[in-house]
Amino acid sequence: MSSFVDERPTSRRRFFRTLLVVIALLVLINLFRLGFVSYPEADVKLECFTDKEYAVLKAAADTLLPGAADAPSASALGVPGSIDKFLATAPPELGARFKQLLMMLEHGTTIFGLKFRRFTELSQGERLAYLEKWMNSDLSIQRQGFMGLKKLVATFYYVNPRSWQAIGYPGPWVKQA
Amino acid sequence: MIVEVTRNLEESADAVVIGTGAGGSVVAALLAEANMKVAVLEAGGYYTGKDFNQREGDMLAMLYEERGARATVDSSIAVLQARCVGGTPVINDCICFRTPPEVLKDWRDNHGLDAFTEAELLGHFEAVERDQKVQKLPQSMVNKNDTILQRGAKVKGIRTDTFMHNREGCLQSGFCKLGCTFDRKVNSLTVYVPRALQAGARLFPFATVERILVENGRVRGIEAAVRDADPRPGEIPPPQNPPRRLLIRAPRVFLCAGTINTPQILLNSRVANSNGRVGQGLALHPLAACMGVFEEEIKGYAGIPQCVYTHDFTPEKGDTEGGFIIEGIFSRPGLLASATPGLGLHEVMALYNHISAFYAQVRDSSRGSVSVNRAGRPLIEYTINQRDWAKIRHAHKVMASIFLAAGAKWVSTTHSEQVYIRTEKDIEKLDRMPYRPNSLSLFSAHPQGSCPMGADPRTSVVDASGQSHEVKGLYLADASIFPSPTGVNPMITVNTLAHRIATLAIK
Repeated sequence: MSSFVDERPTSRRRFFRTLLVVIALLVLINLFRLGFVSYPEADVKLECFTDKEYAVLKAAADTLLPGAADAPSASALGVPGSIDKFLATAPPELGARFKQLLMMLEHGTTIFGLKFRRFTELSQGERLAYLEKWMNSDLSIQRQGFMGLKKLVATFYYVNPRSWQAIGYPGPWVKQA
Repeated sequence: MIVEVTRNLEESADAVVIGTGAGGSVVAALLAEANMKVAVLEAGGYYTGKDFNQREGDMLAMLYEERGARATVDSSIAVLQARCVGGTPVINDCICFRTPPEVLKDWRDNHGLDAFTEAELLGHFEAVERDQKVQKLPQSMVNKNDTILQRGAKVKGIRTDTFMHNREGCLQSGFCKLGCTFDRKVNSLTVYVPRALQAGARLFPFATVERILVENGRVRGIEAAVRDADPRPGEIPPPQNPPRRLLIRAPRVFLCAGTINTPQILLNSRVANSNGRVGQGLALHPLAACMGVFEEEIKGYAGIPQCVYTHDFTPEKGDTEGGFIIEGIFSRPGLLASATPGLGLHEVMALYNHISAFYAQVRDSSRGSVSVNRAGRPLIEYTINQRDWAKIRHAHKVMASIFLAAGAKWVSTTHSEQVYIRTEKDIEKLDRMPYRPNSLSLFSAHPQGSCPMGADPRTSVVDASGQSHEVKGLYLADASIFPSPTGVNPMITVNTLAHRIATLAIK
């Protein structure tokens, strides 16, 4: 490796420069393929996210928890809205990082998934495969993103009493006033 | 008395205690009972049993640091700590270990802390154990989850025991991590804070210390901001008033804000750090969990969440065979779901009543740091070294074999990429699993050692009496001063050090 670096510095630099140009092009294609896509207005009053971020989170949450026999989907349980409220009161760095993650998810499909559609435009199966790539990626930033997303979605889904019947959890001893 | 600060306030005291957890509560009680005028500051609110509604969503937000979202900078380890009067004992599982003799030996031999013998500490251990009614958890109170640990370990020839614990009249509702609704924990919240108040201490909840005041090498007091009380669960937050300034002049300040917030306060104050050691040497005791799925119902949430631990993997066994203890653990659905393996959350959680879980608590040799960002908030950086990853892998193998011996249908770690272990032979699959940040869920409930105690002022922050090497009258009394990690749940060690530090300071 050291001889490669010593003898061919120009080639190496050229390789990275080319790689950067390719990545930039892929990002631009993803950003502008459909021009400026509009996202539906959120179905809750948002305190932290934009409509776009909310739409991405909703798609991701419903990919991880799409609903099962007697279990509602994440969005039916209001998970994206709960995360929005939580991040509005959490340390601001956390909210900023999570927003970056959502944008990476939405626009990283070309680079990380070789798809020419945004995350919110993928089918459920494609989204799952895309998230699985993040989960097992050798890039630590992707694994970190996946883990952060999954932890928040899973926690906010299963702290909700409406998720308990499906897993047989009887709930607190103390009944709600 | 509990002081409500409605306007900017200045006052004086004999001592300020910052933090009311396992360290601060003990210091506050002892100083106040020695007739000192004591001001006690706590960043969180003052809640007791009637406030704990047993709902994870509400209690994580009300009682935990950063509303339960505190983590290392790379998000690979969730750091669970409390932010309320009483501190982390309010949300812990009441596990009581004395500091292991081999750890005290390390402190004496390698950190110049000659006084830290078992004999010297005995009186302090006994006092805090007596105060908190520490006793052995009887077999009759062991929950189903932990009988699985006993059953499997017995087959594998691994010795187990029940914990010493600090509960009295426990109803075994199992909500310990969300605060005890029935006030049956005998701890900082129910013993030491009331004793401090009874003896005349003034308690300031929702007070965040911004600066420790130092002049000419002596501590002069603190400056804090006091905010409105946090809204209660379900309450619509009323408009917030601007924070009030609180200035307390005092010749002694006891900083007991915990391993993350104590260095944060010192770094923001720019004091006691001329050797650059503040925030360095952080140990996290990574908790690596494993779950077994059984045909029979476990209902791990029923009963006391942690009852049993293993003896046989203690540090003296060396890195390849030791350096961790395995404890039974269970949690409510939210926390458990956050650590489930794989992408099939619905499928795994559908087995909730049939899941048993343990974790290995690793006595880590990895060291991280606490620094502050531009806003003065703490940043926790910590990278697990190869020795500790090897311990975690080994611990996963041991836990898997215990589960299988106890009759599990299959076993899984907390890896994102789910591994199914159905036979002893399958345990070898763990050799091919990735052990790296964010490939598996890890927790820390015992951060320690970010402001180490030691005899040498060049390499440590405080001396054997807990006093800063460079600021007279500034004491630290929490887990931040551990020179090396205890390897066991640290509450009693914190209580004991705080008891010793306060006793010496009073003399």
